[in-house]
Amino acid sequence: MRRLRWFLATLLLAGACASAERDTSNDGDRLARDTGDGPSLVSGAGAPEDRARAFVRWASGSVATDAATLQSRLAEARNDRDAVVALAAHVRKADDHSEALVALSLLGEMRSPHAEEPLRALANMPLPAMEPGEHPIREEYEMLESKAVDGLAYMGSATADVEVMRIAGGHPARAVRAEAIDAYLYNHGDSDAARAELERVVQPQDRIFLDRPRHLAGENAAAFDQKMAAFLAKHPETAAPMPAKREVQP
Amino acid sequence: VKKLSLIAASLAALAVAAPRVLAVCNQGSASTADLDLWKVHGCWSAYYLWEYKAYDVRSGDWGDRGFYDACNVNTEFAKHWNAAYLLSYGLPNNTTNRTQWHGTIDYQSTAIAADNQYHDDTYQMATDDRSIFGRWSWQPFGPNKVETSCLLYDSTSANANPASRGGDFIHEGWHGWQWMNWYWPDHTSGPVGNCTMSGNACDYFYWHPMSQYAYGQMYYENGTATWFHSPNQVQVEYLCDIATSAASWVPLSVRTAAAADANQRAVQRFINGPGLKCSAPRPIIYYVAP
Repeated sequence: MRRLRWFLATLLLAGACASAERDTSNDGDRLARDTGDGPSLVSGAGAPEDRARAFVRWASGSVATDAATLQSRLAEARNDRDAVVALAAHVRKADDHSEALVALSLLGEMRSPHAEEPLRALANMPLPAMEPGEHPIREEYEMLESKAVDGLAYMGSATADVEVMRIAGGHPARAVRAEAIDAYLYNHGDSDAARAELERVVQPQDRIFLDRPRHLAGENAAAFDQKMAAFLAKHPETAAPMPAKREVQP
Repeated sequence: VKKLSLIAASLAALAVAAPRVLAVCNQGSASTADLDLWKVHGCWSAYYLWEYKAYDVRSGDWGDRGFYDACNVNTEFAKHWNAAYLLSYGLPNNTTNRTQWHGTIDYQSTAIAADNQYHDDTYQMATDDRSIFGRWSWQPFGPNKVETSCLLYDSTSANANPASRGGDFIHEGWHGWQWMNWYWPDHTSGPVGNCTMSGNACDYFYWHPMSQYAYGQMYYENGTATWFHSPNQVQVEYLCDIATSAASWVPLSVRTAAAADANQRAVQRFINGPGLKCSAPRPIIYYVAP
């Protein structure tokens, strides 16, 4: 019976595909991958807001081979206030969370002085209340604010550093505080001095984030395993207990 | 017998055709990350014709969620197999300079339907219950049930991206692993310890060296905390692998969403302290060849 059902479903599915292969009616050019040089944030058709939207759309679909283009497009826009402001505004206008995350990533990666204030505001958006069980809207805000913190810490300015340090110690969301701690350490070369600065402000329950092993893109297992072993040696309290077997099967 | 078969077939056809009233998930738009991944394959019919069988996605359950409109990325079924596509092909599985926690064979074997070393038979359902991301439930007769909710499909939801959706397939599948290996397929109610979630959402993170499990061995356990995984843990490890080790063609939006989800979960859902930090805290997570 199951085989018959699958056979019938396959026939119907295959038929549906033949008549509806790549139904792009609702998505227009968003389903066509632009493999060119990518749109510019500072020149070309439309207002800065339109260019920001086009650039974010292109960047979100970018792949490894687009990295150099991405960096050069961001570099050419770094000192263009209108372009930076438009990109910052697009974070709040994005169609969805994944696009907003990419827009924030681009804004932070620019290291533009014009981006600091928008990033500060985005890292401190009022958080929705926690609800029982899953609270996806609250988590969405926390993920966006964490990404804004990455941009602030990457900025490297004295004022941005002060803000990252304040967030590390006092942001209402633990995930954002954890990101601020890691970002401050990372952008100060994981130095002892940075760690000592953070130790003065982080909350007692957050001190573990000073030691948490970080797995980097492309990092091999041997390198990560060393970091993990050091963490576990320093924090034996993080060892999990023996898993308990259930006694009876219904 | 022939008449009986005809009657049974007619009843089955009626059941399939019966209108459903609960399909409230958004079938009208897809997230940027879903669209970006979709551009990579452009709707690969051979893949989804494999996928619905491999995951046991049934027309009766998914008929009004895009089952017969599989090339329309706005529908739930298209998003389901879009996530499965990432799961099937998104990781390079290098063994000479290994950068992943586990291999595609581990993650996919956990997610798919057929009885294997990772779990007994399962099938996939969609649910409109927005209080959960997903749910595994034991069934007395037939395959166990994996449900995934609108929160993984509606484009306005933060977790409606291919990486988070695939991570949930693995998470729910791992409850099946727990069951098959005589552990309770459950979480611990929080908040408890380091876990800040309320309700049935907290797990332990069973630290193991990245190089400990050969690819294809994630199912192994020996009754100790040294060789063990929790559902949230396998989910975080998959998300982290996509964020840091995905194939070079995986779009930036997919990798960025994966990292954000991994790190959020790692801070919130583990009783014995946060899990690993996934990726450098640099704004853009650039691809780095292993």
